[in-house]
Amino acid sequence: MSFLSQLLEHEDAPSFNYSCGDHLASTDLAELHRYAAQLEVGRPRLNEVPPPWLEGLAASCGRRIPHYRRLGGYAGDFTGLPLLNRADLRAAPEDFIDPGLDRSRLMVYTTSGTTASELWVPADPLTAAKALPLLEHLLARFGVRFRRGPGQVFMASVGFQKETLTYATQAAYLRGSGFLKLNLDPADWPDPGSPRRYLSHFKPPVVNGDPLSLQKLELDYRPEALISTAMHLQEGLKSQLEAKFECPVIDLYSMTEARMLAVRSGAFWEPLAPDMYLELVDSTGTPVVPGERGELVVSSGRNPFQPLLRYRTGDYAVLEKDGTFSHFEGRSPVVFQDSEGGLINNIDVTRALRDLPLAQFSLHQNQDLSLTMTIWGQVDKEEVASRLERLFKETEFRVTVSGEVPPGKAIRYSRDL
Amino acid sequence: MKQGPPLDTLTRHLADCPTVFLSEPRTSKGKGRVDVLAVVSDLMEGWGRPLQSNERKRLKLELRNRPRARMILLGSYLLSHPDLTSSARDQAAEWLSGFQELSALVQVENLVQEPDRREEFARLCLDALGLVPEGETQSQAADRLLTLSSVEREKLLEESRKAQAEARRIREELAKKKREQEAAPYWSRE
Repeated sequence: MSFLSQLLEHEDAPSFNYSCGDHLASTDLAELHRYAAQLEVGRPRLNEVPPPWLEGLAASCGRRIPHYRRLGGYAGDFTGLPLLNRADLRAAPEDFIDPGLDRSRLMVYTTSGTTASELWVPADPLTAAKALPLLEHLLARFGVRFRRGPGQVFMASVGFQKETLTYATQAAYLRGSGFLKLNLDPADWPDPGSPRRYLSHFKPPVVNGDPLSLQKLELDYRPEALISTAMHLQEGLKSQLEAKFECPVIDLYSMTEARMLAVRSGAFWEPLAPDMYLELVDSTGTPVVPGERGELVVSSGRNPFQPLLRYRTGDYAVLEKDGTFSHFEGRSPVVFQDSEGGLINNIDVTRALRDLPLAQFSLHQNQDLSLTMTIWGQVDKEEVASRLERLFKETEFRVTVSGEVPPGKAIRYSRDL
Repeated sequence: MKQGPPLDTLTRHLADCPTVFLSEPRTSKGKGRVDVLAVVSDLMEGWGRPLQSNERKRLKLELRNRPRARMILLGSYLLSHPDLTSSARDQAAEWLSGFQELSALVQVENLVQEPDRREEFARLCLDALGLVPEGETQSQAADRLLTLSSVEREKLLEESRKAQAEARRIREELAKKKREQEAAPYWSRE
C-alpha cells in the first residue's frame, strides 16, 4: 500500500474532501533550494534603509504592474510611495499581475479575513511551496527540522472550522514526506477518538493551527513544536499548550496575502524572512521612530503574481530600537469608554485578560456603553467578568461563552459609537 | 530649432481662415470646388521653390483621401502666413503629406473653430518647420505639443483600452482558476 493510501485509508482517517499534489517542476525544486539558502542570509529589521532588492522590486513594479504604473511608476523614494490597501487588492487583483508573466500554472487562494468580502490571492505552485523552506527557517530557531522521505508525516495543519479543505499529500521538496490538512470538527471523523488516534499513529512532529484548533488538539505523543497562527495567541493559552504538549509553541504572525511575517520571541516580534520588508508607519505613511506605535506595512515580491509595496496589514505595534516590534495588536486600535467617561484602549483589555487561556474572544461596546463579550475556550466566565469589571467599573456587560465554531478571524474589538 | 513667430499670430490666422479653404476639394472625377494640388503648387511657386516631382507624386496620392485633402488645403492656408515663408520652403510638402493619423482623428473644421485644436495645428506646423514659438524653449514647446496632440492622446487611449482588455482577460482567468485550485497550499486555512 502506498504511503498516501495509508494516510487516506487508515481506519481513523477523516473523510478527506480534497485531493491535490504540489505540481512542482524540477526547476521549481532547484529554485526552492536556492530560496532556502537565501533565507539564511541576514536578519531583517523593521524600518531599516530599504535594501537594494526592494528598490529593484519597486522599480520593476513601476514599469510592469498596472496598479503601480498608474501611480506614475517609481521615482526612487520608497517611503514616499502611497500605502496599499486591502480594498485595492480586493477590487482588482488583476491589476497586480504583470501581463507578461506566464499564467498557465496560476492558482487562486482566497481569504475572507475579518469581513465577508473575499480577497483573491493568485499564486503559482512555486510560491505556494515556498511555505516549506520558510517553515523550516522558522523551526530551525527551535532546533526542529522537517523529516524527509515517504513513510512519515512532516506536519499536520489542523483547523476547527465549520467548513474547510481537508487532504493528505506528499511534498516533493521533502522527498515525499507527508502533509495532512485536517479539520478537528468531530463531524469529519468516524469516531470522537479518531483525531487523537489518527494523529498519534502518524505522529507529525509539527502541528500548526489557530489557537482554538490547538486547544482542541489531543495527542498521545510529544510533538517537537506547535505553530500557532492566524489569530492572537493569549499568553495564558500559550503556557497551557506548552505544559500540555511539552514542546515549544511558536506564535507566528501570518496573513494569506503576505505569509509568515514575524515570529514572537518573548515580548518582542522579529521579522522572519529577508524577502519581506516590514515597516511601522504612522497614519500618513511616514515610518515611525523607536518607541512609537504604528501600523505594520509589508513589501515583498515573494509572490510574483501579487507583489506588495507598502501593503497595510491593519495590525499595530510599537517599534523597538533593535528593529523588532512589541505591543503587537491585530486590527486597528479601538478605544472603549467606561461608565465615568474614561477611555480604555483595547490593548488594556488584552493585557487584563492575557494570562487567561482564551482561544478567541470578541468585545463589542454598544451605543449605550454596555459591553458584549463573547469568548471561546475552556475558561472561567466569572474570572473574565471580574477582570472586565475592574477595567470598566460600573459599565454594564454581558459575557457569553460560545460553544459554536468561531467565524474565521473574528474581529476582536468593535464599537457602535 | 529656430525661433518662429509668436503662436497667437498663427492661431489668429487660423481663426480668420476664409471659408474657401474649408471647401470641398476637387476629386479626379471633377466633383468639389477647390483644386488642392494647384493651391499647393501656387503657394510654393510664389516662394520661388516649385514642387518637385516626387513631392507632387506623393501629394497626389494623399489627395485621393478626402479628409487628408481637406487638411492639406487648410495646411496650405496656414503656411501662407508671411512669417513662415522662409522656413517653409523645404519642409512644406513633407508636412502637408503627413496628415494620415491626424485627419483620421480630427475634423478640419475643428482645427479652425476649437482653440486647443487651432493651437495644436499651429504647433504641429512650427514643429515640422523646425521652429519653436517665440518666447518658448524647445522643451516647453515639445511638452505643450505633447499635451495637445490628438495623435498622442489617441495612442494613450488605445494603450489604455488594450490594458483594460488585458485586465478583463486576466480577471476572467482568475475567476476560472479560483474554481479549479489544485496545488497543495501548505499554508492555508481555507
